[in-house]
Amino acid sequence: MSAAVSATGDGATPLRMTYREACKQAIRAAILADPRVFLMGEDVGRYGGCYAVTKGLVEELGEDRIRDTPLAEGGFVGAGIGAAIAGMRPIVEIMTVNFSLLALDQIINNAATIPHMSGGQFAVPLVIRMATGAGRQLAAQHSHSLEGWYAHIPGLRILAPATIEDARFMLQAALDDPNPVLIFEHVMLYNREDVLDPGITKVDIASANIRRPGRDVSLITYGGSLFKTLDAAAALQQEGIEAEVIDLRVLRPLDMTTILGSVARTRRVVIVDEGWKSGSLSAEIAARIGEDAFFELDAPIRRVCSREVPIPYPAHLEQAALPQSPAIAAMARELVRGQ
Amino acid sequence: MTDFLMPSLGADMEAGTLVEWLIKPGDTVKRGDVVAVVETQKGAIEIEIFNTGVVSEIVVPVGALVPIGTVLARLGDAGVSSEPTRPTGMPANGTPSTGTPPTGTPPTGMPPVGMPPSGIPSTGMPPVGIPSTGMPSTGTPPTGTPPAGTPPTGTPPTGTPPTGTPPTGMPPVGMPSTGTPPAGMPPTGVPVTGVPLTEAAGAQPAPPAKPPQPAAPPPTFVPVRPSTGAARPRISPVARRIAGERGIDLRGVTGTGPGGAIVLADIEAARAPTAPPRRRTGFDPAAMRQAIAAAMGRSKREIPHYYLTQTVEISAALARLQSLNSERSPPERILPAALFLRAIAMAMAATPELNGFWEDGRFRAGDGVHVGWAIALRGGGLVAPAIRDADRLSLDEVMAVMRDLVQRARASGLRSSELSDATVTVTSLGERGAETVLPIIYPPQVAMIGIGRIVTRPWVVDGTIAPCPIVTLTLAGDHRASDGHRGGLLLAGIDRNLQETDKL
Repeated sequence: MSAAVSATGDGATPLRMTYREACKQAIRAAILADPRVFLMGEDVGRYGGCYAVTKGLVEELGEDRIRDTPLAEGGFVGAGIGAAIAGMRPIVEIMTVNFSLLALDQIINNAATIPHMSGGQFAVPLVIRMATGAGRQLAAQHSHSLEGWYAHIPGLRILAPATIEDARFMLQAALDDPNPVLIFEHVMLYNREDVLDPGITKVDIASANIRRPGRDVSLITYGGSLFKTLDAAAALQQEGIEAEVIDLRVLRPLDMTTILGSVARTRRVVIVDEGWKSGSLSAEIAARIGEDAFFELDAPIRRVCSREVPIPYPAHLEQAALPQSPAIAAMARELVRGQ
Repeated sequence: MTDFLMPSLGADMEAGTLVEWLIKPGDTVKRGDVVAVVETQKGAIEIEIFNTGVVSEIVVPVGALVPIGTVLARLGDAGVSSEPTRPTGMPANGTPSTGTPPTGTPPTGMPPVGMPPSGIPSTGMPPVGIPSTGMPSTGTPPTGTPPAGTPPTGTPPTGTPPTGTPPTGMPPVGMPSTGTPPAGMPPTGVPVTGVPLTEAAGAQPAPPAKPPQPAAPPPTFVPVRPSTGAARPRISPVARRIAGERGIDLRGVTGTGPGGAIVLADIEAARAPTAPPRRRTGFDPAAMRQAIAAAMGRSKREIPHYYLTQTVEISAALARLQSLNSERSPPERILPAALFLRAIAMAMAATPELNGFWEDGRFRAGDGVHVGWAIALRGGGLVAPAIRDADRLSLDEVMAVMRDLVQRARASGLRSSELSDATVTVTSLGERGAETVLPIIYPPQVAMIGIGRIVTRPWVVDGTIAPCPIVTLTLAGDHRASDGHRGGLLLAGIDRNLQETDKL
């Protein structure tokens, strides 16, 4: 594997790989390229990561660069902040977004504020990766989508890579950012396979991306919902409805230029978010469209979000609680067709 | 001053195209006069007026497609040649006028007949948009002067129907967001009731107390779509904006968006140049098919039909017809259909539960027995003009009305009242029809009666079998409004009427 892996990003042959592998190669390349970069987190070393993203890396790169930590999120996130202030480029992995709540004080009170409170004297070039989302029957304490909460916080940049390309290249861009960056990897994406375009060696972490152009309705989504939304768009095409699919990629700061430009073309919006509706990122996007594109709208803004329940454990209930392609297509159809 | 509105010519009609005016400003009209011709899916219909007075203003020009409820023309009182028009704007000094508008020479003269030139709002008719909130439609501007400097508020009076004819000088809704008020718009700071939506979005909410009170006489509101009750017309923001930029009158636009909202596509369609109006072109078979499809589809979706059938021996009835017709020339003869219709109308009068409409979840009784008579048209399609008060007409009168209706239906010369008034519908298959028909109720009516072909069949008369003329009557009833017992009484009543022929 490592022979093939070494070819990634070198502009040579297209490579088919999983999202998990893309994350792994991103970490590996960053560590190899910069002596200041290291990864730490629970079970990232000898166990290989709870989602097997870092499998084999401790053997290749050593325990200094791939560091197992105690089960103490507040502690090792705080250590990451300190290392970043001291000049390192740490990548901190938190198993799931639910566990990151234990480190909220470090992330929000320290990482997000220190650059501001120090008047720019201290940068916090910290990257925190964490898994998010539901679909693997991990029940309510391991399945929530709380990235929208973090997108509330000034001082943080919030990324949600959905494609192989973004999984592979967003990490380096995040490390290059002098401010703390949180990367949310949806658990259902790790096994997804796609071809990595060898011509691409970096991506931006500022803009949304129109993954599918269309003229009739804008479907705005990110992360794990992207491919459900693309499926819905493909189904809608069979009915003659051309849906535009926007992958937000960056949840904070929002790329409102892309969003508003799309709305101005299609005049109809469905926001698809695995977070809950109440007080959510989807609510924020809807509000901004209402504020800034009201006179472009030809229909009410609609949302397809998770049911307002803790994510259930049984598979059928879990699936029923999440946004799914038929519901997305139905919502878009209603906006375009009238009834 | 009264408004003459686009009438509803059937439950499924939403709009009609005005193809001819038979009156002009200054004409004196009286109730029942045919004043205009409107093209609908049912063909060109002559529209009657229900008021007496002098035409003061023609509001809708020939060729315009307008929703029902739209003001087509205005009438002044008889004896007054024409009323002064209202000023096109609020007084420039910022003082809200109260009471009646000034008489004498209005500031901008008479309104143009028909559509105003683009960009110049005609009196009382903003060029764009549907008024957003309850607005007095009478000629008197509101009293109840708000204190000077009070920002305009958009709070309609409590309980006010949300749509209405705009009052004089109201700003057009959906104006371009240039910030420059168009002609006719009150200068900033002039207290008015109601604000355009474009401003209301940014205005602070008005205190709920003390809504502005319109001056007497109480405003008469003109719902844009009476069928949707008090619902405010839904217009998407972009549709409103583009309509404003292009000067499109949203009152002439039918919404096709979510919940019937007017959306951008409707504006684009409205923008397409309309073909010159056809004059009395008769009905369009395709459009009529659509109308029938809509009505019948709705009926089968919404109405839980029950069916009752009665076989009626009619030798006595036919004998009476024969005696009546023996002295008559063929054009004067009474047909069996008239006999049936008369028998049905009399029986309907005795079962009012089946004579009326199912509307908004409840039954509303008809104001008389107006029997719709289904007439097949030669080009295909059906109309069912009403024979008003059929229970009170003599047999000769019923026959005369039926002849007239058939003739005019086939020449597309039906009148508006005839197409909208029926409280029950009857279909007769006639001599070449089938023996039995199970009709589909024409919504919002609650009953329909089918008459099969008259056939000769063995029948038991006084214990022996004899060949007798019989006919099969079928009642389709709306089970929401009536039960089978009532329906059975109706059919029994028709049967009895057909036996007791002296009453016919």
